[in-house]
Amino acid sequence: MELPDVDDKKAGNLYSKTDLLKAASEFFNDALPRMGFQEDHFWTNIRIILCMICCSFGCYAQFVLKFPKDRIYIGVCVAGYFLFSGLVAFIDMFVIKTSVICIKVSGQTVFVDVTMLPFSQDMEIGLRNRIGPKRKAEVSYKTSVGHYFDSDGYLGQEEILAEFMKLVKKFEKEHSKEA
Amino acid sequence: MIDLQEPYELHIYMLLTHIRYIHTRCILVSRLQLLPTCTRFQEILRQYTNELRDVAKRPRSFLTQVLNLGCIVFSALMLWKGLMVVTKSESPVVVVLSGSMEPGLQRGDILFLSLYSEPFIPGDVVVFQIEGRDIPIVHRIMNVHEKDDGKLAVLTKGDNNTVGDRGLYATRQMFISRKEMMGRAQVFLPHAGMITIWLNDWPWLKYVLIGSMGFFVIIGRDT
Repeated sequence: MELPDVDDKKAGNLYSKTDLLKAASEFFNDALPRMGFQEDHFWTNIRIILCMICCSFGCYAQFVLKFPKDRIYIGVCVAGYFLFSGLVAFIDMFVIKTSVICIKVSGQTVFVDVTMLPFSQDMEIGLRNRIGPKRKAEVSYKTSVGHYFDSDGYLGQEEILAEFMKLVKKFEKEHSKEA
Repeated sequence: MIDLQEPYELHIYMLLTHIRYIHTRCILVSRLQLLPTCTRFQEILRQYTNELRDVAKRPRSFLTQVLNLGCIVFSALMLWKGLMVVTKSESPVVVVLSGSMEPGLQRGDILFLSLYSEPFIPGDVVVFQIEGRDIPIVHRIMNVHEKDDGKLAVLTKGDNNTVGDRGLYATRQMFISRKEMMGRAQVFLPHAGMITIWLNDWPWLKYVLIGSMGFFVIIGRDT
């Protein structure tokens, strides 16, 4: 497997979950498209559109409408803002979850999840998908962050990519069984 | 021009040279002592600048982060607007800035206001803003006069003041009217608003807090 030409990723603080996840996320976002995995922007686009609608409601209520003359319309904008904001929160909680990138594997839309539980040293990389309306395939691999990061905070690209490719093969096998 | 043939001029020259040497050494030592701190600060600045540059290289990710920041800002604004709609008051939450209502209301207390259609009666704690003045006032109603046409004339006074508020009103204004009323105090939270007073006293703190929060959201460190 040939390593794509990606800049070194470094976690600023090895004890910060945010930094570690950020480094891994940036790596996957840079490397996977260069390796030929097609990105699926559907849910990201939906999220962007919903956020833009929220911000439009907010801008209109804040800068155009005047209180108390347009009190009812401000109320409508506030309700609309929180409705769409709730939809964004729903998508974040139940669809995107901890996904760092969404790609196509064997023609299926797959979310690549990178997770670290609080106060834990383990990083879990997972591939998550729905096959049809009811069935879903999910594979993951959990190991210590020391497996991926060196003592200076640099991400070991070969190691993380090797584990990712094993997961892809496992996912394809699971998918062919389910299908 | 020093003539070094003369002994006293030689002494002066050596003294001046020695002073210059000590001065240069002091500057060098102090700069060397500051060097680790400056270097660390520069490293952090370089790291954050690189992170911002990396975010800007991915337009979709940058747009997502900007929209996230927008949603965070508008969540606070929409919450405020929602309170305005529900309470019918232009400023549903205020902070007591002075001690004119002590001992009942202290400096830093937060008041929740409403402006429903119930009539104003003496004893109500109200917030009003005189035209042309920036800061609203929280005081208690002493007298209420209602004319036949429904116009209201209200006299207020701070609990801790010895005289009424006519000195605070505009020139030749004897009473305040309904349009100057911002709301009637319904609930108060003691001392919860001290941070507002600090941000008022040091405005630069506001910009530093909001600016740094916004920066961290943009570079993706909002968790």
